Amino acid sequence: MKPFAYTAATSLDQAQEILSEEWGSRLYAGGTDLLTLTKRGTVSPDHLVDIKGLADFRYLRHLTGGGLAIGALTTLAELEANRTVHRRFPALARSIAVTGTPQLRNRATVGGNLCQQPRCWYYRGDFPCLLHGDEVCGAAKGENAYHALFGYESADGNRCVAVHPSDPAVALSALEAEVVVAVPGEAPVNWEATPIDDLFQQPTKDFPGTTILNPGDVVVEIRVPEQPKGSRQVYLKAMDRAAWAFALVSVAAVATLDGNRLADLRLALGGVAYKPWRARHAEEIARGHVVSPELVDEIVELAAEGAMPLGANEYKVPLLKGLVRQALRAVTDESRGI
Amino acid sequence: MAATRTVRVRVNGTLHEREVEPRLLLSDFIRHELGLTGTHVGCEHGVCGACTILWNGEPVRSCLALAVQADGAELETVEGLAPDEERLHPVQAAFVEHHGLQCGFCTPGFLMTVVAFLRENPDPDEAEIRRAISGNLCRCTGYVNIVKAVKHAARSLRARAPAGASAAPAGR
Amino acid sequence: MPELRKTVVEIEGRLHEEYVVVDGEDLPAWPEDRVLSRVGQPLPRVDARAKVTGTARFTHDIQLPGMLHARILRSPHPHARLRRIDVSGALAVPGVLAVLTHENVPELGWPGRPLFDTVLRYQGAEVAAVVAVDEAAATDALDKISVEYEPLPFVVDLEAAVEPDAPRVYPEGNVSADEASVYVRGDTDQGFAEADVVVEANFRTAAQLHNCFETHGSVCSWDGGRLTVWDSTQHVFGVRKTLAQAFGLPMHDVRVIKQFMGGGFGSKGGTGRYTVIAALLARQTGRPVKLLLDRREENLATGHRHNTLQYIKLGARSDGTLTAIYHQVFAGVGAWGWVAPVGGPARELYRCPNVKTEEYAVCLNLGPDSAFRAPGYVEGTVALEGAMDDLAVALGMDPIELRLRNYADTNQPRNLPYSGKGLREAYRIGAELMGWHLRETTGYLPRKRTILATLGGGGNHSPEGEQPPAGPGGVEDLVCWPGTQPEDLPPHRRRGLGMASQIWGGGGGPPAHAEVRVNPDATVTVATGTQDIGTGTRTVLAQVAAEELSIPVEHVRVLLGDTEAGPYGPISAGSLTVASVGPAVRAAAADARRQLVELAASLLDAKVEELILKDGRVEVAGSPERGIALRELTARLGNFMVTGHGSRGPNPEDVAVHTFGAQFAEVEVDLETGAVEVTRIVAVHDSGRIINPLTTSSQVEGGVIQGLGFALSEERAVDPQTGRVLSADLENYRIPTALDVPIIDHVMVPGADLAANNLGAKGVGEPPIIPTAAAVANAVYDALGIRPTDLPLTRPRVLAAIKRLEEAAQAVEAGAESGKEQAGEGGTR
Repeated sequence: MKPFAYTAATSLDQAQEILSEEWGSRLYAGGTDLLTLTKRGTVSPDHLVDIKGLADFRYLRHLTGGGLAIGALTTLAELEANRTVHRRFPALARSIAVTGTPQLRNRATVGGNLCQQPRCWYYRGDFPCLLHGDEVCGAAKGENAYHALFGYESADGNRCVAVHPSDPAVALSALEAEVVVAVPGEAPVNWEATPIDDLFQQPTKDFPGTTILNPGDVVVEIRVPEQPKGSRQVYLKAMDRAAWAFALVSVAAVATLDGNRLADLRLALGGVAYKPWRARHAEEIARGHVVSPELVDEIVELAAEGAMPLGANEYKVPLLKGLVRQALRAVTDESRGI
Repeated sequence: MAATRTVRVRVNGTLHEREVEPRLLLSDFIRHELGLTGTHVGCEHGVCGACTILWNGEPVRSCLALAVQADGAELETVEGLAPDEERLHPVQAAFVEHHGLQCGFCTPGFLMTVVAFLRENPDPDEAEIRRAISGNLCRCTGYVNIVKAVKHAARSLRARAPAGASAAPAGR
Repeated sequence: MPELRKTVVEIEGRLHEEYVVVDGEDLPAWPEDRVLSRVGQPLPRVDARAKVTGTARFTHDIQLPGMLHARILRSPHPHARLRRIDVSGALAVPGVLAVLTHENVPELGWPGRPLFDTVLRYQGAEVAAVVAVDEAAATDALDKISVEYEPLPFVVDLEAAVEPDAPRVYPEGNVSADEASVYVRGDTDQGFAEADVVVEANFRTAAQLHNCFETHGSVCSWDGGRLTVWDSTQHVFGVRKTLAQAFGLPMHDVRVIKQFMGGGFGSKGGTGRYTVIAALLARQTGRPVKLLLDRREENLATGHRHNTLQYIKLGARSDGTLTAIYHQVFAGVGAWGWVAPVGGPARELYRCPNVKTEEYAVCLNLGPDSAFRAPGYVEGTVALEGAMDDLAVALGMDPIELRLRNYADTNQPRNLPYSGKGLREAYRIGAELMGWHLRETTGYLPRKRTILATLGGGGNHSPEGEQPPAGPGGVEDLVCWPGTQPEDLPPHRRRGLGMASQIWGGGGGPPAHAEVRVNPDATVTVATGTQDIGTGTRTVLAQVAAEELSIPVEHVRVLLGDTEAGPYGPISAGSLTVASVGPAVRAAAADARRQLVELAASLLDAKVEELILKDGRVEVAGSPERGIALRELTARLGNFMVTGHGSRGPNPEDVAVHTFGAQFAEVEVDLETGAVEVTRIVAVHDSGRIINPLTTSSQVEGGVIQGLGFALSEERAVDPQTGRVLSADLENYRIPTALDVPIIDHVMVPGADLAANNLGAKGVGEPPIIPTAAAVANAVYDALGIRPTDLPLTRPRVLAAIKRLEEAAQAVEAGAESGKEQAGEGGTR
């Protein structure tokens, strides 16, 4: 690693001041992502601003109306162990349980998990990559078995085809969570909550981050709204091995059933785009309809609608369909023969 | 070279103070500065778990942390497990007895993970054990004897704990 | 008296004859019915305490006063010419003492390729080495070396490399037919003509990376003209010999030490280029130098199991008797290397008069290969045992029945009977444990299959001048109707059972020597120049010595892993340590015992023949009152230490010594997600007498999970555009975790191999990895009805197979509806 300076921030203001003023300074919390990037030389920060010690942002709080507010510095392990999360947001609990390893979950923060960089092996190695400042994306025409099906617009090498690696982000998207971003100089009362899907951007050569955050912007809280009464949730993740791997494809499903009828369905797909990919068309078709094998077939097909395999990731289309089918089976009644 | 910083850290009960560069990894600090070479580095980027130590009681990857971050922390490494020269910690004894190791390189990381795990969960079933050690890779054993060793360690720790006492450490 | 004897020596499936030194007459093996009290006991490891307390010193842990740190700059290109190199920037980094490049590297007697070449044939080839006061300075300096490369055309894909117009790793071409290993027995043309049924298949296996957790590395220190090296190696004496040659030193002026090692699996059998570089830098600076590879270097430059393209064809009569086997192998060895005996199983496993195997090395612009736990046999077993299951399907025969029909009682290439072969017993035990015999009655699994269709696929891979293995479109896959599935399974899951057989060497051989020193307190020190690479050698040797001397195992200390600690020990590879060094230790212990008894005879005024040594006493047989405690006896000797010498005797000439086994796999395949879940493995192996069931259990379980990794997830990935390795770290190269391990039941076939050596024991290190992947692939075949031909069975491959299955089923359905002829009934050609 190249030498760098280190500041253990004592306040968010102090951290934001350094981050917005010093070119080359980087926000540092759990370190599980940034340190791996720094060790590989993928990024070379001049100054690490460690906010891990800011206890004010490490909490779980019940929101009026039944939701949950999660301080961004809460570790994944703390969230995983929380009973409310288990009881009311089982998809989130599951998405955390299948993230990384127990040791990593002890260090990794939920905010950092959302803001992590792609795990693309072109990005993290000595390969052509737009995010390194190269002219082309090596993965677009290379070994792209782990890459995107959606949202990258063009496979001509001018667009990043990496996927967002977070599991919790996918569950949070299906739960319609919001994130609160602290902007430097803004008073906390002015901090705004935005839908989690809007946090992410497709990384580009000029803006190689996975989020829309500017230097100094800090995710400080995640708000998970109360889910409809009787809603059922599931998070399914396909991996190359039984543990400790990033998702090939994952599915978070939140369904509200009214008797036989799907009153509401939310489907978020992971491992297929630069952000959690909501299968909105499928959700719309499902809404208000009676669960039947035909409806499930339709949802499954629509979930994969518009998929643009890159070559080696063609298998993700049947995988995605299979996982969506299994997720639907899990959140509806299995006896319906789907 | 960036300015050095002072790190004060208690390792296995002994306070150490060193001037270090911010880029110094905690694993290198433990191995090279303190000479505690029982903590091994296998993959260098947080995957294999060989470098697992306890940081304020929690198992973490020491290769994915900076020494400067540990300022003020209480760390435990494999060298601090045995109560004295003669006796072994029950988890160590179980790994010896039930052959929970082969080459031994990953063993310290497993031991630290398991020690913390059994404090939290003194009576785990096999699935819980496998999940708890799923972040520690072993290339030799096939894990079977490691799982067996953890079961036996749990049993002997429970037998040792006075009735009604919590197995969790103080302050947690 | 030492003497030179000619004997057949087998390492890693290759045989050769050589003269070896043996010392004295060998002992007969302990008979089958002999009650042994130390050997055969499940004793914990003698070195476990050091490993759980963190006091075990691995090469990584060696710290010497004044020690410097070196790092290597490696080529970022798969193929390039080094035009210019400027190291002035590196030398200017504070703390840097020296930089080595091709321009200033001294001439050495090093037998390997140049340490720093100007044509770089793989990503990771050595370009320069820096030595500095610490690792950070050395690493910083690597960035300051300015190199001008001229990139050259490269080839990293095995199938592309065999094409005549492929870029060439060497001007001579990538495949050398002259250097091919060709074996012929009988006449395969005639054999196939005699066959009633012929099956053929193509297989691909991936490059497997060892990923020993302790990376390769050395610490080198000079003291005057003497060199001491701490090295993470499987062969201290081998490293000593090569370094002596490299530096023009007498062998005894080089000392190589390796007390503990974090895995080798075959990759640490030779002398590392990094070791020579570290020794050079240590000589140049006059200070000890430590050079450890990082994980990425490890995966680029220290070897791998070569990837393979295999074509196999079997011919059989309708009763299942094999009439011919043809097996053609192309192995991607990298920039240089060797083809492991991939054709070994085809040559040896089944009785067949007409066999031809061809093994071709294919050079690629990737790091050189090396041995990897049962090299060749793992890959070759996938093809042979896969084809055997195809044949079983074509014949409508039970796979085990087919294998028993072709059971070989002799080693056919050598025309010798086997010293012992428990394979039949392994089939029986394994089938019973797995419930194989219940398959028909329970409808548990598809039984007699109907061949549903034949699909084009696979493609050809044949180098210039070779007969293409099949017609246009390549080998056809048989697709079968699935049989009845168990009722507890949801309809989108399929369960399957598969099995595969294992043959391997593991008989060991000379030379191997040992000393047994009896200390004044009657404890014993065993000294031998072997090494414990993590497998439990220390423990097993202590048990052998304790057994022979009838003393507690705790009274035995084993000195090894140091060329100055004891006499020569062979490389720890080829599953040969127990069967080579163990008998030498027993012989040395017997020699010590003889001397002790002779000494006691004079004290007790008894005849030597009357005396026995038992439980720490020498006494007259039948009159225990006329005896002396060993401790008392040794105390009488003052400072004199009885020292026994022993050697491994020559191998028997009239039999072939091999290990055998069978593994059974149960899998569940999810048709919707392509997930392959191995739910159970039954492993039954015959390795003769087992010295320690506990160390054996770890070897078996460890072998099985490495085999599972090879079958399911482990694969070196290479970027086709840059020729660089994408999976050079443990995140992208996926070895199994604790959650990937199924239930593993294992049994060792009872019985000693009395002809093998004086222990009756054979190796157990490699056999367990050999049949695992083949058994898993056969189980997936059973579950899906379509043969998986490409390993590992990752989602893309399994989902593609499921898609082909669905297409075939649809085609058949359409055909049935239009009332046309039945699809592919019979299916034999």
